[in-house]
Amino acid sequence: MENSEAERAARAYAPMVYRLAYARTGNRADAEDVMQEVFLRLVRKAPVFESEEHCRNWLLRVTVNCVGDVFRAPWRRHDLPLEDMTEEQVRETGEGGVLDAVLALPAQYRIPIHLHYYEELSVAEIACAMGKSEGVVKTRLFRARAMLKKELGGEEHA
Amino acid sequence: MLEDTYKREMDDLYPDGKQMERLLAVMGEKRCVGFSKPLRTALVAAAVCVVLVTTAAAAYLMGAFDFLKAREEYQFLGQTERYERYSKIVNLSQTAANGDVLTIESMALDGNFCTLIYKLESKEPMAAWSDINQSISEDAPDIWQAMILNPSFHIAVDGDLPGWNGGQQFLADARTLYGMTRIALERPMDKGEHFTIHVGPSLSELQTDPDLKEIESLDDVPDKWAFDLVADPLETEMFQMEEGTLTRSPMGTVLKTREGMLGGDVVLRDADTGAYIPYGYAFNMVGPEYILYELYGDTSELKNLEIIPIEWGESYPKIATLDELPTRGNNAVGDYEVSAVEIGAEQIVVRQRPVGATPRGASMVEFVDADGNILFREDSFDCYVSTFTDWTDGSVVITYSLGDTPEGYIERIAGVRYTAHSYTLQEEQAINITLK
Repeated sequence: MENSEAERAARAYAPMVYRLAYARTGNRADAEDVMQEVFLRLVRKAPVFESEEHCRNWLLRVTVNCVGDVFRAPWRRHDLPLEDMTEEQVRETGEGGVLDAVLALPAQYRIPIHLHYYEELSVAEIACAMGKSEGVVKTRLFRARAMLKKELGGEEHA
Repeated sequence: MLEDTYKREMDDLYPDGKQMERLLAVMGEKRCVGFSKPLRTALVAAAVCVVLVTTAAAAYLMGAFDFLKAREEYQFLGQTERYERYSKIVNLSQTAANGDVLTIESMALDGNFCTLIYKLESKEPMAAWSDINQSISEDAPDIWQAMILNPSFHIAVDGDLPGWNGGQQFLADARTLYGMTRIALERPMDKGEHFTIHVGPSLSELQTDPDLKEIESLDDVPDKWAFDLVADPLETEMFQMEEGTLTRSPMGTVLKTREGMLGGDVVLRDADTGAYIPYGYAFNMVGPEYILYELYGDTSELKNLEIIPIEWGESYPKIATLDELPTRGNNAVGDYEVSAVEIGAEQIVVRQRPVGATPRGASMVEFVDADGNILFREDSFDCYVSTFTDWTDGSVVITYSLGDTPEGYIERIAGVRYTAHSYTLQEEQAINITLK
């Protein structure tokens, strides 16, 4: 992958990567760190992509991996839990909407629900991105939707 | 519906301009930004105003240039002769407040770019990328270790002269960095025009220096060095056309258009000889709405340029054994071919060259074993890939620097795997440009 191709990919997919990272971390700074790491891996590994779909799927998979690394990294900055956020920080995240409810889900449910709701991926595609079985993804989506329904009190749509 | 509400809320969340700037910077595309506040210069040495001395004597090009041209990965390797002929000696050193010494050794200035070769001697050991980002090994190649150690260069002529810079740098040792930077100019400079090269701290310093970490905008970053110079650019022809401008100098030819002006992907052809012209392109080098197409090869005699849109067909993976090289897909009008693979214990070098009409750069290449299994992709050991284009002919060199590979792993390489492309030329939509 030449530099211009990597830049093109960054411009096309940085928002997707950033949003997925944010959905998992709930923190803009961490989301940016993840985004940088994902695209550095793109430059570093320079994988061969047969199609845009292939490129997109690769980036989603690597983002999922990098998000995990953020939480394992010993130098990771300390984040405030949602309840300790200042008013300004809460506003930054969307002020009490569905996004906040997703961010309040246990960590393992946020990525599948984001990929399903926002990226409109199928169960099989989410399983591929997460490196999990379709059964695990179905279970997590089911539980996540149930928790959101309970939290938000409205009708849940699959 | 929950999905719709979630999407609306998520739509408001995206990396802002500064975050994109930082992303592209760490990826190697370092943007040169203007300094809106009065410069808080940290210079020890006074800026020196000099008239550049023109010389073709390669013997003067010592130090950084000698280091760079000895490297397989050097971006301008194919231009060494041209650079030695047309660059001008600067040899100016300045010492920053923290004791770091920057020496600009030489400069090639035409209407398109200002290319500088420099040497940075740091008073304190510089933090290698592996020290900052543990995702690469301390054994990673010096070009990777030096990833964000390059100072940020910016040119000002009676105020800012916006432009981007890209480049390369190598960490020779903990206190010595050799590098080149190429700054795309928004407009050509006139002979005798005074200009200043502002040089700021590296991204590494911005991330680690306690005083600099607090700066939110790159616009507020102070200079570490500043060099006042007088322009003596190479003669550059400029051709104005509806689609943009084409500028040509001994250092190269650049077509500048607004994004989308040429539609989708195109191939370029010399209308008089029928020879296709390979090219590379860069986004946003001189403003967010522009694309620069750098024409490769000798275009000094180009008089009529054809810009021909293409229609993409299918792309498909192709595997070829090492014995079958050179190899390329079966596209009738052209594509890049994988011409050679050189396998060493610590580095693999793949060479590709353009054949016929090429609307894009070369594809990446992976390696397969005798059973077609893809090597290195899911490995647990390091592999660092760097791609460089020789502008003299558009050929591409990809280096794969290897970490500790398991015994016998390299020997498994039996072939290459790459993506072959299909495309057809839309001759009826071709644009003809006469350079006069």
